[in-house]
Amino acid sequence: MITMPRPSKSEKWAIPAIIVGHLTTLKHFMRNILGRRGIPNKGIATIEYPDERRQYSDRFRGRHWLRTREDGSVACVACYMCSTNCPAQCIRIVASEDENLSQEKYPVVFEIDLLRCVYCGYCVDACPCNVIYMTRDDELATMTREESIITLKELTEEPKSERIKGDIMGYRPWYGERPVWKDDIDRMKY
Amino acid sequence: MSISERLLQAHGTDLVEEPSRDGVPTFRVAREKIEDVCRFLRKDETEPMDMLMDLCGVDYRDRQDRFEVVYQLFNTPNHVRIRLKTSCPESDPSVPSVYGVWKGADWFEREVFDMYGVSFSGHPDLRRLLTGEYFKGHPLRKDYEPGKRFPVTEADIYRPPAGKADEGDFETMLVNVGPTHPAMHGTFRVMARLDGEKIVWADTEIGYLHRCFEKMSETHNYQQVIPYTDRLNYCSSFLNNVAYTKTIEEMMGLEIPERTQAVRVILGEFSRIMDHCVCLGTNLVDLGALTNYWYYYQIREEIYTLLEKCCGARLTTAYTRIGGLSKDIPEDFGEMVDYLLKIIPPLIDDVDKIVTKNRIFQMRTMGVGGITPENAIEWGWTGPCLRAAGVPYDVRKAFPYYGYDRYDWEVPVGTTGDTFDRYTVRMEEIRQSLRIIRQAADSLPGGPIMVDDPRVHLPGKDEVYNTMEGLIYHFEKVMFGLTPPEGDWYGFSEGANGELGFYVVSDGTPNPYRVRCRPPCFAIYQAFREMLEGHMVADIVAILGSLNVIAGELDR
Repeated sequence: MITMPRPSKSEKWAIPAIIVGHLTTLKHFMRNILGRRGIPNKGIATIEYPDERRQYSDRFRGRHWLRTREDGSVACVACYMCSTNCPAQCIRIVASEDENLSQEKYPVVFEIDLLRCVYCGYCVDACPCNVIYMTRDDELATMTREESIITLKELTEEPKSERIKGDIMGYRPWYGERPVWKDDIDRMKY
Repeated sequence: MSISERLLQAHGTDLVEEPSRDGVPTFRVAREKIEDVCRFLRKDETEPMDMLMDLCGVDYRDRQDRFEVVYQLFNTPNHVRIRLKTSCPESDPSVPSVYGVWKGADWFEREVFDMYGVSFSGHPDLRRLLTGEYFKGHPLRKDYEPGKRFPVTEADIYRPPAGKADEGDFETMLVNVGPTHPAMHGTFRVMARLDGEKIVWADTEIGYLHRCFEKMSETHNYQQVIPYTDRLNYCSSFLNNVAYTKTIEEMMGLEIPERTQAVRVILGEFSRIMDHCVCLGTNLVDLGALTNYWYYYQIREEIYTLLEKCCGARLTTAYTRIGGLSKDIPEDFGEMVDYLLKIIPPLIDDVDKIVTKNRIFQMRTMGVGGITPENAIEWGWTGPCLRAAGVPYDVRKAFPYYGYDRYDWEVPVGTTGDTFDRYTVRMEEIRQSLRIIRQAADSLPGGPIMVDDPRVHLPGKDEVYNTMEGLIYHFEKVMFGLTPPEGDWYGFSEGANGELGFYVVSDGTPNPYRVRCRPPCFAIYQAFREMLEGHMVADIVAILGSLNVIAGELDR
């Protein structure tokens, strides 16, 4: 237990404290005028948004993306795991059977309401087929509420953004070594 | 003889001891006798239960006495806990108030009245608290539909009672501050009656950010509640995650891996630093010292970068899972921690240089919003605000968890409990947190991050992708979640502004039957209106900022 001291008599003098305070502020001012970016405690701490943007890590939970197969069809099997695990109930899926039986079940409707979504990543954790991913795309403003509901078409498009450097993919089911998946190993991009 | 034995001896006919799973002696008290029993415990000579830690209601729909009121009592010097339960039938939902025993029962009883419709006879000011006077129904009753909407019109706005009538020669005036005022830190509303510049009467209104956290928890399974806890105290989301998951883990008897414990300590202490930085920074801005804000916020932004690298979001972390963490820490975790430990101390020192010895700051804060230790305990204060008043109660020292007893650190306490003391205590807590982080990071063990218990963890991805058993098991875990054994449990840990408790009742189904969050700033803020009386109008913001009241946690 430490008892925090009250200011002593000498610490109550006004002038020295003001001088020390001004020198401290001046030190930061000079650093910001002369300093360069990216040096801990010696450089400038701020970034010049929007010319310069913070690059998030590969775990960033942004807009969703659905993996597609080689032929461009969505790899989702409409098992409803993501919508079951979603705390915000923002995923709406309507499943259907494929006529050609190349796959048993696939989603006709796959909608995510980005205004309801809390970006917790539970859908990614729940997906048993390695389909749903989250990207590092975080600028999601729309003009209307309707636009905020993204459909299957938008979800399966190759995500790209000029703002984001490097791999756009963010939160994913696993990191490090890729789990071997005997059925789909050749077709997996991510 | 322990206090429970003394209680049984003196009031044996009025109560029965109930088995409790979390080891806190629990007594079921006849409702007519609850005030007597509370008074007996309060006035006990050796171990007086001087603090009402929590008071909450539970709706057991099938029972004859439908509404149960649960009292969590606490003895501050010896850290003894006792739980009392009393119940009342739906036909006569009324329980004697314990406001006369602890003043801290004030808002807790009002909240139960609001949420369950249980009226507390003898409470001096039993009004609705979180929903508003115009609200119909009692939201936490089990027969209240969770999705029900309640439209509010402008005519429903709360009209404050006039306060004291004009006395003496001068006319008094009523001033309304907030709820949308930049210095009111979110959505607080204060009505103050002024005599010149002096506050003679004040009232506070809360509930503008009420989002039914407790009701929503009942409609989700145990894992799904974690993202909701982010939004309680949003300045230190990770500490809320930890407090909640720790409660459920204790309930299920899970021993989480040492690596997870250390990571939770490191990120938890960083979150505490962040929370203190926000509190002190905004408090100083309210007092007119803007420069410090940037230094504090640089710390916060850099810590957010570490959190984002670990869990993928800066503010709403949702990093913990019941039984561990969602993902292992990144490879450069150690370097990031070293970097943060290098940049934070100089920034704290810079603030120290500018502010602590500054005469203007001292004159502005010393003697403002002071509180005696007895009064603070009476109101149910915990955390830095209680420690500033001179009571060295810290959950991390009193009930060490995650190996806090292994680390070498001190609890800072103040002497007068005024705004200046709250500032110095928080500054020292930041330094002590840095010490804890240094030690925890140096001895970060390896190993798994999830507990190896089939009841909680999802199977590995290679199992899910390749084996039928893994897939079935994965489906089962996602669909049916996890089920702690039936019963109730009060879990607590040190949040950024006090003891953050979760009282969870499980009925053996995947969804919790009741999740009660005991927010530390709720107890602190209820004393605010009494603290204001006698102060200048400009002190409203000075005191409020130093209390670190977070609307998300206060209103839930």
